[in-house]
Amino acid sequence: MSETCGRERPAQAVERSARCGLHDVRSRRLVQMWDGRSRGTLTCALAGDDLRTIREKGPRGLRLVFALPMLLGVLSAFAGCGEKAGGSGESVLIAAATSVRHVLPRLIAAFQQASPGEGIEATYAASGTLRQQVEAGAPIDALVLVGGGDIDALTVGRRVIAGSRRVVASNTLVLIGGMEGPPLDFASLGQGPDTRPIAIGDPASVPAGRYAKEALTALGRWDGLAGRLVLAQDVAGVLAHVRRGEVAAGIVYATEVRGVEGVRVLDRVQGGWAPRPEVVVALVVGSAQQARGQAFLAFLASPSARAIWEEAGFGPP
Amino acid sequence: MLAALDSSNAFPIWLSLRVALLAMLFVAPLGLALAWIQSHRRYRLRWLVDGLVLLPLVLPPSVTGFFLVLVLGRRGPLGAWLESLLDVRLVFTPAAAVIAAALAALPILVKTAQPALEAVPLEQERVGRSLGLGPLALFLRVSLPSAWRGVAAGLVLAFARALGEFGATLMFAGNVPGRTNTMPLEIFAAYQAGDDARALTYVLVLTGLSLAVVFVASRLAPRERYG
Repeated sequence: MSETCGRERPAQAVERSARCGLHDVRSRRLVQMWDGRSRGTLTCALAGDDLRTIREKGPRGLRLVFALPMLLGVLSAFAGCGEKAGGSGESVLIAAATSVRHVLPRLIAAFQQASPGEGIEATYAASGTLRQQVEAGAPIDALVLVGGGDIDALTVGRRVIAGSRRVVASNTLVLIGGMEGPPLDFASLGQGPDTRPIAIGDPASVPAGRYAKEALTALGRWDGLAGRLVLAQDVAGVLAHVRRGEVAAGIVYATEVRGVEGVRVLDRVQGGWAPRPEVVVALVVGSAQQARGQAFLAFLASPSARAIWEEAGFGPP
Repeated sequence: MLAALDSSNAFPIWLSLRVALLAMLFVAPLGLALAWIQSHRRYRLRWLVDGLVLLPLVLPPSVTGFFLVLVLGRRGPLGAWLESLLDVRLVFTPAAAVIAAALAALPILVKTAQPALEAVPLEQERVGRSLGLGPLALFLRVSLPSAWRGVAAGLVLAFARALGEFGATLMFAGNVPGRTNTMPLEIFAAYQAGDDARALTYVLVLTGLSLAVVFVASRLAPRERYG
């Protein structure tokens, strides 16, 4: 019988704490605790009993008590996970660039007031990311992106209605930094002994990053910054890196820093080499709310919207 | 498609391998020591150590990343100290990627190696001790030879986890091309940019590496049958 003792039986086969403890006080106590919880009559594995049988002697009713709510929980977790195909339903879904996240809610409110109707909802991400989502068939009705490139690509792919493209506002790039630290400017970026990282948006998917690369290349500073550029997933990520003080500077839109504490504008992009970020809107092909979406996009270019754009720091189209 | 792997495209692959190997340099001794202590010692705060080691495994990587920036960031207690005393900045550096990978890999090693070390018959270790072996010699000459399969499987799986670390790496090490853009980060960035071909290249490399690792680990798993 001593052959079946836990010494020979590998620990993984049974509960670890129930290893045969004939010569081991600690283990024996644990086995007795099991006994104390009335889960079986085992006092020592030497009796030839093994833990699996003891577990089966446990109260069966208890298992049902656990199993039923668990089943219900699992079933209810599936509810609402799916999405009905074909359009976003009642309201209009606008996919918008991260940089308009502060001004767009105000524009939506003004539009709703001027012409009540179906609701308008907005989702925000980098323009390149939103382009991917539209290409993947996300139920988006209209786009408010920065830079025409993504919308042009979608137009070519017949995902966006060609005639609906329109420039509604413009922006400028600024170099920002924390409240402490040396005052940097575009002209001297990447020179000197400073090796601290600089944050920009990922040029491959974030328009602000693309414009930053354009500006730095035009200034001949791009190559000198290799290995120092932290690529954020959108313009808000750049701002967050600067505010946390983890980077020496970042390049964002001028509209990002309005009313933001702990950040100062070090330099502005201006002159012939300055890229001009534009806010471009378009309707998505197959939108279930095309008329309402079109009306909203027209509103974004209207004089009453212009006042709101300008209040938020955006320039004319 | 793989022909497109020139030097700058190959960089994320080499970086990922280097980061994972460096992480394992820290994880292997620390993880084995922890696994041995947890399998052989009963002490008052054992449950706490168990829980802390396991945390990165059960928490979302974003939580791990947040903690790392909180503690080791420039404004974190340890980060500020490192910068003022040693002039070392961790955030957005390859070292940060190593730390994030190590933290993710540690629980895998401990949780795989611990049962293997527990399964070493106590008698063998008692005999070893009675013959005058110190704790380290006992581990290297008695416990490890007996439990090497489980320990090796743990090391291999931990390496794979270090290779695949993404969330905490993105937050703590950032995406700095030429410095911290490991394969998982590169896949995410390429996907965001719609460059699916580029993403697929790294997806295939990582999948191939992971398959190899899983295969090795399954060959290493204890094969004796119980009964």
